[in-house]
Amino acid sequence: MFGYIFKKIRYLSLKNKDKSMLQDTIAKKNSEPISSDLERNLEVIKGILSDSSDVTIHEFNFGHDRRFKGALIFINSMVDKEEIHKNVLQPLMYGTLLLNKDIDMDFTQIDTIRRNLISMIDNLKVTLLSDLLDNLLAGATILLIDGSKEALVINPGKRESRAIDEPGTEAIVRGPREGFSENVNVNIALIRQKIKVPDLCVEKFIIGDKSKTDIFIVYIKSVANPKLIEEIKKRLSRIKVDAILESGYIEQFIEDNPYSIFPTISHTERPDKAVAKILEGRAAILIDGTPFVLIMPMVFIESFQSVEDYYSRPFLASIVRVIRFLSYIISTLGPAIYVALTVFHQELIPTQLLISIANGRERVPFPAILEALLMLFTFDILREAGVRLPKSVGQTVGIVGAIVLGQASVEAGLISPIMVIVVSSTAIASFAVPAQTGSGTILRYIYLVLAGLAGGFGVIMGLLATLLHLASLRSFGVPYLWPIAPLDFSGLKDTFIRMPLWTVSKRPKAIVWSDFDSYKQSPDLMPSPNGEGN
Amino acid sequence: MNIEKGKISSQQLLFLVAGFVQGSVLLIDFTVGITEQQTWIVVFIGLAITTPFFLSFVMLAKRFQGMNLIQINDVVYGRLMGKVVSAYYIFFFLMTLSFNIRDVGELYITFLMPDTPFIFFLTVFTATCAYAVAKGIEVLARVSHLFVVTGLFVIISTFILLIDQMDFSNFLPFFELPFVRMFQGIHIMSAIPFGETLVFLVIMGCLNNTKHMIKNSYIGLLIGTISLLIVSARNTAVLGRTQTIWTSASFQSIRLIDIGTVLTRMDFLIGIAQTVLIFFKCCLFFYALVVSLSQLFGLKSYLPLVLPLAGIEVIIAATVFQSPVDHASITQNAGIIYSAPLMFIFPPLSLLIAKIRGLPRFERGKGK
Repeated sequence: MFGYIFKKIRYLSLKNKDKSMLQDTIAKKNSEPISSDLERNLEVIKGILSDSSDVTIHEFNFGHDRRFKGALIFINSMVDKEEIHKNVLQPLMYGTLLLNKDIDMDFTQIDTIRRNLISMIDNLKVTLLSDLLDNLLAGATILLIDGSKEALVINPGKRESRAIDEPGTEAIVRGPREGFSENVNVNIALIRQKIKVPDLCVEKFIIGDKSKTDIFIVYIKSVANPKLIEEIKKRLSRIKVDAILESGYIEQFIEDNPYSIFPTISHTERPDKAVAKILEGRAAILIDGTPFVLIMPMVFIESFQSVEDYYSRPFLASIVRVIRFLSYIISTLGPAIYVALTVFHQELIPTQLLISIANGRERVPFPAILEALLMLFTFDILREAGVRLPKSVGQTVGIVGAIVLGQASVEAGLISPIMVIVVSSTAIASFAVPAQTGSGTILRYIYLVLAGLAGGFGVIMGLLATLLHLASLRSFGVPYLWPIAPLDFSGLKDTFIRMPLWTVSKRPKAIVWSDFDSYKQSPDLMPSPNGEGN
Repeated sequence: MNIEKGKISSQQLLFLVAGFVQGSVLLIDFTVGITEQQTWIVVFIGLAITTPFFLSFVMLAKRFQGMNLIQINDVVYGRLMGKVVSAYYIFFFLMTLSFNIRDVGELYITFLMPDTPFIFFLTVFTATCAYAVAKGIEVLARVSHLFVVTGLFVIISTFILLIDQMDFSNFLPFFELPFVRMFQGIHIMSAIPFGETLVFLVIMGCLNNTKHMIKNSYIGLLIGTISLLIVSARNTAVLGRTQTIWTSASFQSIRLIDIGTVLTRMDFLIGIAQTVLIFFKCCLFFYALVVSLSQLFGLKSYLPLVLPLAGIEVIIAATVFQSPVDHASITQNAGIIYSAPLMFIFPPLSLLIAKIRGLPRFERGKGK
């Protein structure tokens, strides 16, 4: 019944959307072409941009007899004026002055100017006023010539950007120190430096009615599943919003399961990580203005992998990975198990431990579930405060919050010391798997409440529901729990433990799908000192 | 048209069958009171008796590719008679599911959390089952191996941990029991863990490839049987004659685990394993129930039936028996009688009729 109503609502909203899209295309079609009369063009542009004081319109005459009229339009703050002066204005004004009078070039043709005078590479012709305005507002310089129905868009190339820096979120010990920055062109360059094949595709989209953000899909054509790319393009093309300010906007508009607490699109600040995933057949979406690059499809176990696992030798890497899985389990189930044990299943606790727990809880006035909720809540406040505060104050919060508050609440008998241990170990464990911090935090509260209501039974039911939920998720067609469910033995080589690199010769089956190009390295790479092979 | 759009592979069918049979580990305790130290023989004979019938289920499903039980009944017995047979099956699913749900409630109320209201367990458990069923058979099939591995892990690890307490003379004497008790034990064993696999008649219609289905499903059945065998042998070897006096022999034997006073109180393991495995079994039963019912009524999707049926199941499970003893005695004496035709008569009969009439002639099927 509800399904019917939802369908109806969706149908109506789709219908409206179609209408608005139609109107948009009509508006585009009707947008005025550039007229051949310079005065008129400038008047229109001035009319549109009358309230922007930073728009500069520079009119000038050129040609050996100064009979041609032209105008440069740009936004002061976004253009490197020196470049424009050197490469556009100077050739036009002085260069043409020195021309032999016999050579009568027709400078009302934009192409003639473009070929002969402009010494900047990145330029293109536009014929529509709307295109002209789009480019102008994106930071380009516009050259208009009297008598020409076309305008030249000259891109000044340089743009203010932050230096390539070590990424703030994914620090590693061994591995490259570079991270993505806010400038999308720099980011593409960082990827291109690592993948030097002609079929690395970089496809551009412009999304956002107001922000007109540049968005690039990056993938390797011969490796990525064409259906995946098609699906991404389809989902991107239906986004109609005012602005895309960060990768999170795109993520929330194209993800498969908007109601799930688990992310189905991963993001990274590290070029090496992005490249590794692109090489496996995934696609990356780069968004101008943010160092976070989206990568899809995502599987659950990716959250437990770090690029460093592959840079260090497999033995420690495997142990570290197991530790990450354990930390996730501790971070979600720690308080729940403590509550279930102390409230419902005391008989499972060894007697010595039971006595010490009982001793600790003797003066505590709250039931264990309330105590745990209180502590977890305090911890989450501390974490949130620590993140938002200026760095210098952050430490104080840590000390006051963790040490003073923790110590005092135990001494005052509000909280039992074991609860402090449980919650703080949970807190530490939750940072070991950064990609799943969000889901971990939510699950922790859910399991805790279930444990408080129904002890071990509640926790088991919660776990089963979580498992089924995880198994039902898909990210761009790839089962989220792959390779655990559905079972894929070749994928398990890089799941709970990391097998040596020379054993993993194929790309992940679920992501590449076809056998075509599933080998990423030759299968007989096991090192042997005599060079005889094995 | 089959109501389920999801597809499962025959490898997943293997794990589904294995997990389903493992889901009956609790039922071992049912028969122990009747067959005592010879439970393990009963498991064997039960398997031997059920094998031809199980194969008849699988062959029937193979013959009617892409159809579920209700559609097969329609084709084989005609529209009216088929509906009657289907209704019988649906009644069986309805009751057996509620018995299994009740099993979980009784497990918790007896051993783990005696102070919690009985209905609470039933509600939470059925709600979780309903969630799983709403996700579809594909999701259940995808995680099926995890259930089987969990079950095998607990069963084998407890067996190993109890080796020092085992006394194999507990299996003696053989063939001491009167034939009637033996017969009843065999009937229970072949009906409950093995015969109930007829739910796969509903599920096997979703197979994407019927090539290895007979082999794979039988391997699944064998894995399940081995689990049952290990459990029954473990309980008999550890507890001997006393196993008949405990409410749950499995619990009692696991409680005896004591490795250097460190590994003790392992009964929570069996609690977890049994909950998880019965959950899996209940999900499959629940799935079969909603799918057959919605197929019978010609619905487009089975989802609208999930919640109402969950409510009905909880009510039946809460009220159907007076006590665990009542539950055990009715299942042992009456339950297996009314369900016998469904396992041992209808599927082979359907197969026979289909052979004689050369069915399926109409590839499109008759149901909606």
